[in-house]
Amino acid sequence: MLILEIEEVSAGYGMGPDILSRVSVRFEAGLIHCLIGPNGAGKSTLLRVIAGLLRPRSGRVLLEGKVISGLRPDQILAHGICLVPQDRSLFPDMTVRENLLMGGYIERDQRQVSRRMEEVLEIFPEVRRHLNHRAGTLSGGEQQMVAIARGLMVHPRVMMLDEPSLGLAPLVVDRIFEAISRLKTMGITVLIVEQNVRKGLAYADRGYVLDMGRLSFEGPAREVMEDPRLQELYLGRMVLSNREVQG
Amino acid sequence: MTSGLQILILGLALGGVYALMAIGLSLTYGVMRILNLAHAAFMVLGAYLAYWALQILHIDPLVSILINGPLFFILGIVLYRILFVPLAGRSRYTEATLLLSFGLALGIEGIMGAMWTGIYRLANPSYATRSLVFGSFYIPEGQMYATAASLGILIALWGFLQKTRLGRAIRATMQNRTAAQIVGVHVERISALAFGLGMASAGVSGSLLSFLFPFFPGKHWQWISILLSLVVLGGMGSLIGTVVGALMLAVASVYVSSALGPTWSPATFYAALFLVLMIRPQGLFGKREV
Ligand SMILES: Nc1ncnc2c1ncn2[C@@H]1O[C@H](COP(=O)(O)OP(=O)(O)O)[C@@H](O)[C@H]1O
Ligand SMILES: [Mg+2]
Repeated sequence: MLILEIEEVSAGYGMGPDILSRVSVRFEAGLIHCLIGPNGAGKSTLLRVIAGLLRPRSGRVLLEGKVISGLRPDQILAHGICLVPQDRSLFPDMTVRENLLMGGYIERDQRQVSRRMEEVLEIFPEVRRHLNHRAGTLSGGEQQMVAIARGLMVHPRVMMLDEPSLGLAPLVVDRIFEAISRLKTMGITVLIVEQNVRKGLAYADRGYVLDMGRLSFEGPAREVMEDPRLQELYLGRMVLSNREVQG
Repeated sequence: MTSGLQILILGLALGGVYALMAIGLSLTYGVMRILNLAHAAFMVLGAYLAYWALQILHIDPLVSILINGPLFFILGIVLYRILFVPLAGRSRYTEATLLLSFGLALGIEGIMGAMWTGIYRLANPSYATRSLVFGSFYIPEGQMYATAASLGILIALWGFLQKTRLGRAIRATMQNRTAAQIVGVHVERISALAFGLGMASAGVSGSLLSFLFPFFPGKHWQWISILLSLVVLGGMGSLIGTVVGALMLAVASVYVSSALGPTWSPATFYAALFLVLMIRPQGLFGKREV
C-alpha cells in the first residue's frame, strides 16, 4: 500500500535554481526506504519539502492520497510525518527530558505526553540514563538516539532520517541501524538518506538513487546495490570512499 | 564615602530593576534576533502612563504594573503583527528590524513630546521619599518595593519559561529555530508571544521607572544605552546573562557614583560596553554566532 507520493516536485532555495526538478517517487507503507546519491544531489532538500520546511515550486506531496504540500511544518507533523535532520537539531541547552517533551509539543495533553515518554524510553532504554543531562553534552551516537526518540514522541507514521550515521563510529552506526529496524517492527514507514550506501541498502527494503535533482533509478534494495549504474555514479564522481569501493 | 556593604545593597537592589528592564530586550533578541531599539522608549511611555495614572486616577505605580503589563503585551503583539511580520524572510532581517525599531523609538518619542512636553517628570507616591534603615545600612523604600516587584516578575517569567509548554517552546526557538519548527512549534506565533512578553516587561518596568528616576521623552536614549550594555555584557540572547550583567553593572555604577561622584555613573556602562566588546564580544554567557 502506498503511503507517501511525491508528484513532479520541483524545489529550490530563494531565487536560486531548481535543486529538485520534477521528482516523482512513491513510498510504501511499513517499509524502509533508502535514498542515496552524491553530495548535493538534493536528498536533504527532498526531505525538507516533505516535512514542509521548504515549499515546492511546483508539484505535490500526498499522504495516503491527501495533498499535504503547502501545509505548515507543524500541520505536516500532526499528520504523522516527522524528520530527524542531518544535524540532529536537538536543543543543546535543554536536558534530554526537555528535548523529549519538546518532541511531544503538538500534543497539548501533558499526561498523554508523559505516557508517551515512558513508551519511548521503553523502546530506547539507553536514553533513560541521560534524561537529566544537557543534550549538547552527549556523544554523537547518543544525540542521534535522542533525536530518533524525540521524533517518536508524536506516534509518527513516517519517520525520515537524514544521514543518521554521519560522523559516528562503526559500532555506533550498527546500534543506530538496529534502532531503525525497531522502527520498522513498530509499523513505521522509514525514509533514510545515507552516504554509507552499503549499510543503508543492507537494512532497507527499497533503494532510490537521486542524482542532480532527479530520480535516477529505484528498485528493491538488493538490486540497487548490485546495479552497475550505482558503481558508475559514485566512481564517476570519486565520491565513494575507498573502503566502500573495495569492501 | 559609603561602606562596601552599603554599596552592594544599593547596587544589587538597583540591578534587580535593571534586570527586569533589560530582560525583554534579551528575550526578543534571543527568540527572533530582533534588537528592539524602541524597548526603552516603550519603557518611558509606560512611565508616563503610570505617572498620569497616579496624578489623575490616584492609582499607585506599583498597582499600575497590573495595567501596563497586559496593555503593553497586547500592544506588542499588535505591533509585531503589523510591523515585523511583513519583514520575515528578508535576507537582512536583523538589519531591517534594527532600522524599524529605531524609527519606532523616534516616533514614540515624538508622540510623547507632543502630548506631554519635554519637562522632567517623577511620580511621587508616599513611599518615594522614605528610607528604611537597618542598623547602619539604609535602602530607599521605593527602591526596595521596585526591586521586590522586579524579582517577583522575573521569577514568574522564569517559572513560565521553565515549566510550561509555551515557555519551553520559547526557549526551544531561542536555541534552534529550525529544530523548533521540526517538532511542530509554530515559530511565528511563538515570536509574537515573545515580542508581547518583551513589551510587557518594558511596560511594567515603566511603572517602576516612573517613581525611581526622573524622565522626559528623550530620556529613552540614555536608557537603551544602559540596557544594551548590560545585555551585551551578559551575552546577547542569554536571559541568565542579562540578569548577571545587570547586577554586576549596577553594583559597579553605584560604586563609581560613590567614589567619583554621580556624574560618572553613566560612564560605567559605556566603559563596560567598550571593554566587553574588546575582550569578550560574545559576553559572559553568550555563544559565538555562527
Ligand atoms: N539553505 C540552502 N540555501 C541555498 N542552497 C542550499 C541550501 N541547502 C542546500 N542548498 C543547495 O542545494 C543543493 C542540494 O543540497 P542538499 O539537498 O543538501 O543535497 P544532499 O542532501 O543530497 O547532499 C546543494 O547544491 C546545496 O548547495
Ligand atoms: Mg544532505
